[in-house]
Formats: sequence, structure tokens, C-alpha cells
Amino acid sequence: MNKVNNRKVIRRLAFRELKSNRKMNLMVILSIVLTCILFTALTSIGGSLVNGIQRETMRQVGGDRMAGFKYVLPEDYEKVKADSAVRDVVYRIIVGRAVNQEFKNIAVEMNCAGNESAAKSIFCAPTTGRLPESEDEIAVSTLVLDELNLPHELGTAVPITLDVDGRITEHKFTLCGYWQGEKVAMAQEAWVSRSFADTYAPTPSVKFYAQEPLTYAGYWQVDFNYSNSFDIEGKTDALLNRLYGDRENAPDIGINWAYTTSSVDFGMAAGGIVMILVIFAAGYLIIYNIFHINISANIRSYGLLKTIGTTSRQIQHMVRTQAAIYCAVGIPIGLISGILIGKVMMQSIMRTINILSAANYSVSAKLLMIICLISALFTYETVMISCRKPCRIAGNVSPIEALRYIDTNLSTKRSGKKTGRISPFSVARNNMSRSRKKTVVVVLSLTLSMVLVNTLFTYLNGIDMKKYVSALITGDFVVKQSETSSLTERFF
Amino acid sequence: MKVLKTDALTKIYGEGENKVTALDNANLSVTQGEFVAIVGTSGSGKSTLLHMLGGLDRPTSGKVFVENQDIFSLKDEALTIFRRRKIGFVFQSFNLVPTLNVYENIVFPIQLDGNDIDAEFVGEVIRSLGLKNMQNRLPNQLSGGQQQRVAIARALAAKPAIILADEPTGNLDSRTSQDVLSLLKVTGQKFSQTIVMITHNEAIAQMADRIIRIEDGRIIKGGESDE
Ligand SMILES: Nc1ncnc2c1ncn2[C@@H]1O[C@H](COP(=O)(O)OP(=O)(O)OP(=O)(O)O)[C@@H](O)[C@H]1O
Ligand SMILES: [Mg+2]
Repeated sequence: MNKVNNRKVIRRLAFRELKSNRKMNLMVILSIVLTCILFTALTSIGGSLVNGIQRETMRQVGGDRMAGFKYVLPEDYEKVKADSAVRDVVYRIIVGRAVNQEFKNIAVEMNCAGNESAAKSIFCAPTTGRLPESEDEIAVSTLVLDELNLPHELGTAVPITLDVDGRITEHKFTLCGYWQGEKVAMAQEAWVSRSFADTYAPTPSVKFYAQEPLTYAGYWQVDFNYSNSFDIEGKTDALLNRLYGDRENAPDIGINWAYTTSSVDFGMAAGGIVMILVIFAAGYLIIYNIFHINISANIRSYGLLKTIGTTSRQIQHMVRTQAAIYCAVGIPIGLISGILIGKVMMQSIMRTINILSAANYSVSAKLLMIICLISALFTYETVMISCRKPCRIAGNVSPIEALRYIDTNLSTKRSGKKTGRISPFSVARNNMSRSRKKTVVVVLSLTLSMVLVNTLFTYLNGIDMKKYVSALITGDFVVKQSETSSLTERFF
Repeated sequence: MKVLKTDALTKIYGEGENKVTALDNANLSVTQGEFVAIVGTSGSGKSTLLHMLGGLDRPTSGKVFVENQDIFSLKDEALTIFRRRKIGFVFQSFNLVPTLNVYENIVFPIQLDGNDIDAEFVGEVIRSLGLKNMQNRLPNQLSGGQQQRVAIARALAAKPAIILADEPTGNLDSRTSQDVLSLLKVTGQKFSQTIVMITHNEAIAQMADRIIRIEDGRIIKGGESDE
């Protein structure tokens, strides 16, 4: 038996039957769209919340790289860079601190960024202008400019009192770039050029812990990512073993706890799972019922197909193909509407909760793709599981039952003994009750989904985000503030 | 050669008081190429017999052999496949898949089997039944007689072992009935097709090579072929 050929004829029949049943199409597609919207809205809100919370944590931590080496030399940077497990390696060179009298409320660190990505990795890349190139250039955050009472204007002269491990010098820089300062950050950043760093904080010749006493100027901070954020500690341990076998000379490491502390607590995760189950149940009920009603109405056709030799498996394949076609139409519509609805809901959620910056909650293309993929998969599975039983019913129709159906239908005279069973009135009543069942199902499912959307919204509004985030912030300050005097302890 | 043979075929519906013996120890055989009519009054068990012969329903006891295959030894799925390869059906009505056009209906069982279509043979069948000009029409665009001709064409096109027809002209007026029946007989002869047809019309039955009479589920005459 040629499988490819007979699949083709089944597929053709599936398409034809669909085309001849527009009312059913509309209802099924509508319910798939609905299910998909719910899944998409949920996953996109969940995704952007999780993502946003993680990004906010990173901002508090002050970096987006998963791990880093502290106080190392250029040779260590080269070593890390050469390792195949790490990626996105960046470095910053420690210069000193700006200790102008004006800086009463903020700590200002003076560093040299290896490149643009290095500045970006700690959220301090100039949004206006660029990183410094010549010795007299400087790029700072707007908070530094504000403290100095300087205008946000490129070319402005910036006076700085520099403290390099206790040696104080006065400098006059020209502003070559600035960016919006982050109030939650533990210290503000001031970037100087490589040539400035080479002059005032030249690369030391000995390893950090070989010095007596310890100085910081000239040492490098090297930060990097792994291919994924799973078990960063373990990966870092392995990396140290690879690079510094005996561990004698291994540098201090920092792990970015924005990755290691879960940004979702148990309640949120449980809530999400309950939501998914409820959406699944709602989708199942709607779709199952529509399929069931439709198949019951078409028992005769399935009987005919059985009679002329369509196997149970082929009929089931046909119904599943129809479900897949419905999905192919309904899911894209559902995804697009779901994402739009999710976006609108997210905006109003962000208005109600206290967040650092709305930008943190924006959804990247990659995240969007994951959201779409997950929602599409969930919807597809819901549809396929919903039509499993109707499918079996269609496949198991016995040809004889279908024939008998026709028989009794045709020979009205014979069944005349049970008078009134088939009369215009009973036909009308049958029709009405059948469409009433449909109506009930549709109304019920619409109501259910409204309730769902409402619940979702209320639930998300109810999360005490302010408390949640501020708990993180407080914890952070308590630990870190005692160390702010040690200027290099800023990261991780 | 015996294409079809039954062995003490019995079908009992219901239980206790409602027990109906629709078929009672029916023995019959049909030879290759024969055109057999089964006649009997309403409720005598004709349709029940035909359903058993075609493997649409399982008997209470007894056996049916089609080309020496004991068809009820097959599982449902295998029986369905056997049916589409070996048996063609023509019923009183509701024979065609409404969403497939005439040509697609005719070749449907062949395609279900995943086989290539013998275009020459199918073309010949279509011509013989005068359907050449309506191949692209949908069933609801055909008259009752035309629909029955399509059903006959479908039954013939798969080159089955037997064609089973249950009052194929029951819904047609007498003139159209005559046309359809002559076509059935002529094409049956042309393709040397074995045909078993139910009717309660004596005049129609006279067209057959042999008449099997059935009464209260028992075959009272003509069960065995002379061969
Ligand atoms: N599913 C069933 N359940 C119970 N009894 C049945 C069933 N099908 C048929 N019968 C009974 O079996 C007997 C034979 O029925 P069958 O349909 O074979 O008659 P028939 O000869 O085809 O009649 P007709 O000429 O009216 O079509 C009848 O008494 C009928 O009532
Ligand atoms: Mg009958």
C-alpha cells in the first residue's frame, strides 16, 4: 500500500469537508484563537515580568555578565578570552575614584572601558557622544554632571579630583559622552581614555595578591558570559580549574546573582501553572465540544466512508488533519492578538506596580520568539488533545449504524407506528436543541475566557511588586554599603 | 469458481422477547461472473444478508468466504481494507461523498488503497456508464439516476470480486430504474463482474441469471449455483 498516495487523498477530503462546513470552521477557529490569545497573553506577561525583574536585578547588581574575574592582569584576560566555554568577554581597567567635594551623595569611580561592550555590560555606555579617546576626554553619567552643576552638553569642561590609591591629583577633562545615571546603582561611573589610564594607573607587574600593601590601580576587571545561565558556579569552578590548575594563582571571582537568584518566587510560578491549566481546561472544553457536536452530526458521512473502505485510522487521520488546518489558521491570529493584548495589559500592570524603568520590561525579539513558540505549542497540544476523543468516535463509527440511520430516515412510513417521532415539529425541536447546545457551549466558553482574562489581570495586579523589588534593593544595600569605601568592590 | 460462499449464516438481533432471527442458517454460493438477484418481502432479511456478505456487520454465527477468504476472521481494520479491495457497494441512496466530484468519487477507493489509477480502465467504465461529461460535477448537481450510475462506476472501477447492490433503483422512477439496471447488467457482463442485487420487484429480478428467494431469514430457493 502506497502511504504517500493515500495520505494525499485523505488530506484532500479533509480540506473539502472543511470548506463545506463554514459555520463549524468559524467556531473552531474562534475557540483556537481564544485559547491561543490566553496562552500568549499569559506567557508574554509572564515572560516580560521574569525578564524585567532579572534585568532590574542586574541594574542593581551593576552588570549583565554572568561571572567575572576581579583584579587581574591583561594576561588573564587573554587566557579567559581563549577559553571555548566563555563568550562576550569584556574588561575594564581600574583607575581610581573621583573625590570632588561636590560628590556628597554619590560615589564616582574612574575606570577605563576596554570597549563599547564593556561600558554597555555595566549599563554605562554613553547614549550621547562616545567613550573617551584622548587623554583629556571623559564620559560620565548625568548624575555626576548634576552633582557638579554642569549642563548635559558635550564639550563641557569637567573638573575632577582624582584619588589613585591615595595619591590625589587635579584634572580638567572635556565631556565627550554621557548617559542617564541609575540612582539604584551603588556608584556612578566616569570613563577615561586608555592613554589616561596608562599614565596614571599603569598596568602593575605583579599579581594582585602578591603585593604588600594591596593597591587597585591598573588591575583589570574581566567579565564574561557562558552559553547559558545554568549552574554558573559550577561552570566558573571548572573554568578556574582549566585556567589555573593548582588554584594557587587563581583570581577572585564574582558570580552575578541576578542569574542565580530566581526572579520568580514559588507563588508566581504556581499561579502561572494554575493559569496554564485553567486555560487548557477552558480550551479543551470548548474545542472538544465543538468537535464532538460536529462529528455526531456527521456520523452518516463517516459511516459512508467506512463502508466504501476508509479505515478507522484514515478517518482519524482526516479529523486530525482538519484540526491541524484549524490550528494553522487560528494560531497565528491568536499569537498576534495575544501579544498585542499582553502588551496593553503589561502597560497597565506597570502603571500599578512600582518599577525602575519600563524599558527593562520590553520584550526582545528573541524572547518574543520563545513566547510565540511556547504559546503555539500549548495551543496546538490543547487542540490535539481536545480532538482525540471525537477523533476516536469518528474512526469507530460502524458502517451498519450509518446505513440504519439512512434506512430509518428514508422509510418514514415504516417507523410510522411510533407516530409523531419524526414530524416537522420534532425536526425543528431537534434542530433547536442541537443549536441550543452549540449556543450554550459558545456562550459558556466566552464567559469562561472573560473570567480568565479578568482573573489573570487581577492576579498580576495583586502581586506586590514594589515590596518584592524593594526587598531585593534593601538586601543589596545592606551588604554592599559597608564596602563602598573599597572602590573596586562594586561588582558582584 | 466460487467467488462468494456462505456457511450456515445466522444473525439474531435482540434478546429474549425482542429476539429477531433476521437470518437463519443461510447457505448460498455465487460463481464468478454471475448476476444474482435476491428477492423477498419486506423484513425477510435481505439487507441483513447483504450486510453480512459485504462484511459491514458481523453474523451471530456462520461464515462468509469471499475468494476463499473467511472474511470474519479478519480484524476490523483489515476487514475494512479487504472490503475496499474486494467489494463494491451500491445502495438505495447516500452512496457518494458529497464533497468529492464524480471522478474523485469513482477513484476514491482506489486512492484510499494508495494504488495508481488504471486511467484506461476507469475511463472505459466512465464512458460505459455515460458519465464522461459530468466528471467534474458534485453529487448534488446530479439526478438520482446519474448518482446511481456514479455509484456503479465506483464499484466497477476498483475491480472488486463482487458488487453488492441493495435496491439500487428503489428511489428512482420506473423508466430511470430500467436504464440504470440495464447499465448495471451490461457493464457487469462487459467487465465480467460478479453482481449480487437485492430487490423486491419481481420484474427486475427476472433480469438476473439466477434468483435467490428469502423468507423469514431462510433461503427457500436458488441458494446454490448450478455449477
Ligand atoms: N438493528 C436491528 N435490530 C433489530 N432488528 C433488526 C435490525 N435490523 C434489522 N432488524 C430486523 O431484521 C429483520 C430483517 O431486516 P432486513 O432489513 O434485513 O429486511 P429487508 O428484507 O431488507 O427488508 P426491506 O425490504 O424492507 O428492506 C426485520 O424483521 C428487521 O426488523
Ligand atoms: Mg432492506
